[in-house]
Amino acid sequence: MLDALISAGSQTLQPAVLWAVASALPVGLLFGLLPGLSGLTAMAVLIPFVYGMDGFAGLAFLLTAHAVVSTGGSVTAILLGIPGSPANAATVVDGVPLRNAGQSGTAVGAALTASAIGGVFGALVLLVLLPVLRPVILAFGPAETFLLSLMGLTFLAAVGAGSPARGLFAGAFGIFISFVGYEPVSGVPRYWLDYDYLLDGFRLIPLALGLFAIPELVALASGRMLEQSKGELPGTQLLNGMRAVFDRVGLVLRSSAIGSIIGIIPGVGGETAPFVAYAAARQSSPDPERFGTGIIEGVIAPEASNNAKEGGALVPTLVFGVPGSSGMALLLGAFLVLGLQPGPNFLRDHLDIGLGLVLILAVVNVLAAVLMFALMPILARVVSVPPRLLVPFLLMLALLGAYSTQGDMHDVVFTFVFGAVGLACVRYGFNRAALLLGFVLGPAVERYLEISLNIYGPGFVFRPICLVLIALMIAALFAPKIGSRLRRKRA
Amino acid sequence: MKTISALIAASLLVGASLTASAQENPAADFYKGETISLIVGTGPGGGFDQYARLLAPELSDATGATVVVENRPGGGGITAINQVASADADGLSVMLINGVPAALGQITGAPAVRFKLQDLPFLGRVAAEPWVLLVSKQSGYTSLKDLVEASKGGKTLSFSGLGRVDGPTDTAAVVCEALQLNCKLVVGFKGSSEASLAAIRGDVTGFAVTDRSARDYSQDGSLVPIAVVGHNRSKLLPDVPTIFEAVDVPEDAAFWIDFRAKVVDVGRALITTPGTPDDRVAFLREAFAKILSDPELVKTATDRGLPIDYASGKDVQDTVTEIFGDLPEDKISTIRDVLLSKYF
Repeated sequence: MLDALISAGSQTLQPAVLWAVASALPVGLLFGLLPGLSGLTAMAVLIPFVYGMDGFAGLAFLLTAHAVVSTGGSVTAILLGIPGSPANAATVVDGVPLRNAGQSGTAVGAALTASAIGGVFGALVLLVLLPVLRPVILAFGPAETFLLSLMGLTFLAAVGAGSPARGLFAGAFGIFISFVGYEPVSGVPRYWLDYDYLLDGFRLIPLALGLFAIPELVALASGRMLEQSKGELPGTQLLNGMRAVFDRVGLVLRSSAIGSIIGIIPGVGGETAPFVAYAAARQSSPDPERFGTGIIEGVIAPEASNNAKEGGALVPTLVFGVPGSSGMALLLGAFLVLGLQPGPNFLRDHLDIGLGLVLILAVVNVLAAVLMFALMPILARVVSVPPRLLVPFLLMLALLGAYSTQGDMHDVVFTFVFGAVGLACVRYGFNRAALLLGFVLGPAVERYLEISLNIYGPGFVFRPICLVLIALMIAALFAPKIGSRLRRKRA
Repeated sequence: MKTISALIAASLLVGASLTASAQENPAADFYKGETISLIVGTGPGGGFDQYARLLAPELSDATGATVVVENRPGGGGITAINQVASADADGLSVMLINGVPAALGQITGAPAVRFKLQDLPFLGRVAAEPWVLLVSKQSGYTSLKDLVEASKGGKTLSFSGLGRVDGPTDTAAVVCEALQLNCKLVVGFKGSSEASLAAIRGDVTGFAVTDRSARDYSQDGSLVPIAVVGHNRSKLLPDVPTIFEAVDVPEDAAFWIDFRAKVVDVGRALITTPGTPDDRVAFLREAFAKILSDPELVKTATDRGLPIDYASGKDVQDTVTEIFGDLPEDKISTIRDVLLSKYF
């Protein structure tokens, strides 16, 4: 292992690899900053460039671009209220109230620092798990995946501000619209109205952009100014944000762990990680009612988890050739282009490449945050651009993002449709993050419940890990109640 | 004077030959300067996309047209075939289709299918991969014979899959039907690699994949390839017997294996719009014949993990006609029953 680590280190320091990292880092951050362009798109666009690259350099190139997208996206989420990538949607919930309170610098500082720590944590998890990966992944079958997804659903009411009832309603609506299209197991198309586009269901990117970007742009266009940082200098705010993260080490580590675990399990969409981390932070907080009103924990938790999940997602990709996220599915394709075969023997034959990727992941997450810190004085100026210039530009970017994921004009149209839904949500206080979480988790719950029943029958709930998950779920549901009662007693 | 008349004669000759060539091949003239859309029914980055991007510049060289790769994902590639099938019949829409789900989707009457494969002009086949049945090491079985005996002994065999007619599941279904096995197909997995995990874990007896994936999955012995579902062995797994070598397939049951093998033979095929003028179809067929038999391209493709297994447009067309040509209505309903409901 040590030999491999040293060899991995020396491989990482090759000029070709350094060049690959240096060129991919700004690309990844840019894809994150621009709304609608996700890590997936970054990967798809960059794959043609790896032809002819040396194997390891090519992988470093793609992994770098993919891993730092959510770091860039956090800045857009906070400054503009538009998630730079779907993984940043949960950051909007508290990021925007913080910005409105003149604390955008603090929020960005915290988000970037949390991203860096989360990313390094994810890489460390990967490193520690490398020797024991197989049993870990094999332990999480369809039954366990079902319960994990269900556990995600129990957080619906806890994501964001507002009444829990409206959170649940929005989540239920999200689950409902996730039912459009082919049923995952029987293949029967539902609610498709003889309209081909709906066969595959609604897409995540138009939904996320519609829900978050359109209402924000409408508000901007109708005369609301973006709040500028007031009080302290932005530089001081950034430092304050950074300090806020270090004051909450427990939260950061817990959120990163949540991200890693969700990343490792192939069936649960990586997009869920930030929501679950957010909800978990709220559940365990002494004053959960402040979440959604602009609390720094609400930015730290999702940002730590969305960077951590990439390390987790690499695990099944390397060990089984089973991609842990859609971006990893493309990375898997790149392995083949580069003549490497991920799968059972990959780590035995190429342990140094596996470790090298861990190193790259850790280093680029820190570099990305540093680079974004350095760029903040320029990026922060975006809020002083007059809305009449900013809105058309952002709208164009958002629509381009919606179009570019699949190259389908329908996605642009549906961005507006979901924009209307988003506006209604904002107007009537329904929680958009809960809607998105329901949308992402609905199909996973349905799919793995059916598969589990098919394989094991209803007795699957008595599998050991399932029992643990059920206990955790019950604990999480009742923890806030019991916690507040305990505190009241003490007081 | 002599030189002038010679010049005139020469220019006349050249002119005449030019007109002659134009008359001989109006299709070649048509494509010069036009734009061909090379369509794939998947998003960017996947196997089909990579094949298309590899072929695009070659097709451009061969035809003089600008070739643009278009990703039109949706409905497992079915939506894009619908669009090409109903496009203008000018031969400017060319699509790389996935033959297995297209053919089986048509036979099983999948809701979105609005094309008839037998009506589409086929321009050639880029690749076709044989399908292989694997069993889990956890299952304790090591050969197809074991499975047959276990089934006779009353055991139920289970196989994992994605949808019902997109490869793994229907392969397992036809094997179960041909060998009269007690089978249960567990579908709904998100990708073939996730379905493979279910087999590795021992949740199911086994599953079926293409020979390339079978080779990768069986590297460490956690999955064992037991039979090629077809008449010919795989070049990648030369030691794995065909289903006919592994067990005695009853004569009347061989239909199922033949049927499945023919569907596989359609493979990753190139089509264009029905009604495209014959000369353009012939021209494109010739272009693809040249491109896909070029050893240099075959090598580049193989190095990128994109194997080429060319078959001519006419051959693919014949295969498609064989599949759909003489299928009586009652056979179709038996096929639908086997693929869609019998083993679920």
